[in-house]
Amino acid sequence: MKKILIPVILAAMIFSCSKSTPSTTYEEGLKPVYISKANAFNLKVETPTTFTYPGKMFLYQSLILVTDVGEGVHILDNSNPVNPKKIAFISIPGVNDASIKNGILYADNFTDLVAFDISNMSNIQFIKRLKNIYPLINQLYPEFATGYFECADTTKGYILRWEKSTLTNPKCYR
Amino acid sequence: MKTINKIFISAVIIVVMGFVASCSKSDGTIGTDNPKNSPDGKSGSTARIIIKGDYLYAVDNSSLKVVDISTPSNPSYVRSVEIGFGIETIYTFGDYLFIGSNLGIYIYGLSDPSNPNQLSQFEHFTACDPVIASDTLAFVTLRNNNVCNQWIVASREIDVLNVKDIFHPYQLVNYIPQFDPYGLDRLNNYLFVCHGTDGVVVYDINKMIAGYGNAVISTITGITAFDAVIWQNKLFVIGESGFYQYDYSDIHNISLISSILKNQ
Repeated sequence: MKKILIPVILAAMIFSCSKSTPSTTYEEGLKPVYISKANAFNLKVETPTTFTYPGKMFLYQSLILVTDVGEGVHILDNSNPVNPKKIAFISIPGVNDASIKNGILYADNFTDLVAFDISNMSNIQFIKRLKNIYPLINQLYPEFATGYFECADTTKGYILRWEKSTLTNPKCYR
Repeated sequence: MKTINKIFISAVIIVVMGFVASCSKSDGTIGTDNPKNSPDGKSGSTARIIIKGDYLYAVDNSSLKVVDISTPSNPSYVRSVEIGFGIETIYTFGDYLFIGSNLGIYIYGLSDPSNPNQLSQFEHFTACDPVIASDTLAFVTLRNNNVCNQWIVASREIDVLNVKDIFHPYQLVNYIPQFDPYGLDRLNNYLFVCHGTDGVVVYDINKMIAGYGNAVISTITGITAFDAVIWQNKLFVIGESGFYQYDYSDIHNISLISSILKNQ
């Protein structure tokens, strides 16, 4: 019995000794970009600006909508296709997509659907918000992605997007 | 510490519907109608919000939201319709909604536009009889560039479906493109497919269906392309760097009209 026990104990000791102290690891993964809950539903009509994350397009008569994912919607005048011109930017946090009917622009704003009257481009007006028709998505982990990610901290607000990043000691993985 | 490895297929499914005016002719030409989802405007194939008549339809990850916009300035929420897992895109043609998900396509009818009802579904990776006889086609692009589950073979394909019988869609052909496909649009016999960092490729639909000959008609390279829309006789493309519009009147030599890039 002892003959068996001793090597087992020795092996156990060696195994435990070989365990190194935890070191810092770096992994390529995704990091959440937050917006505060107070600012998440703040809409603003602004002057034209540059594209940041161009994602979706909607064509309407001679207008082009370019959705800047998570940021807002650019409105472009394409009446001269050789020289399309940006005419306005509507800041809509969390936006994924936009569409137009009869001069009214609709877009998603996290959980809500919002509507703007764009029939007069020099005076774009917010007209209505339909609250809580969407569930919040992408808030706990990055959708349609696998690998390491920085764990979401819901106290920091809503997540606008997930960005590629080098993560230090990431604890979340899917 | 290694945590749970979860099987997750990151397929992006995009549905584009095409309708053909007349029954397929003996020479295999496939009609002229251009898909269009509202008289004044058009969404890309990767849309999550579309407008059809007096209703706006929006998808989230698992359901379809119906919003009444008969008075456009006063939209009102009607209902939510549960669809399934991994919903990504919505497209409309005729009295139908085509909803793309990770697992397949759901086709909904709009006989009551305030309450779409499921008519049928088509699951990906299902083998179907390759019959070439249809007057109604749907096109699906699929990509699965999963890196963490090595037992899932990365795959890419463009499926052409026969949806003439809307209750029983089936696969006509599963075309394997050279690059991962993303958003797409169609004009007559031309299928414009975005291929991410590999630009845009125009395919000959008849040749794709026939399964012989080189189906690639022309390519646009040097741009990253996620979605393409044909509108007012021009090709609009959006990608990581910005938006582009092209003249395709010479389909073999598609030329850039203008672009607006990120830094402009």
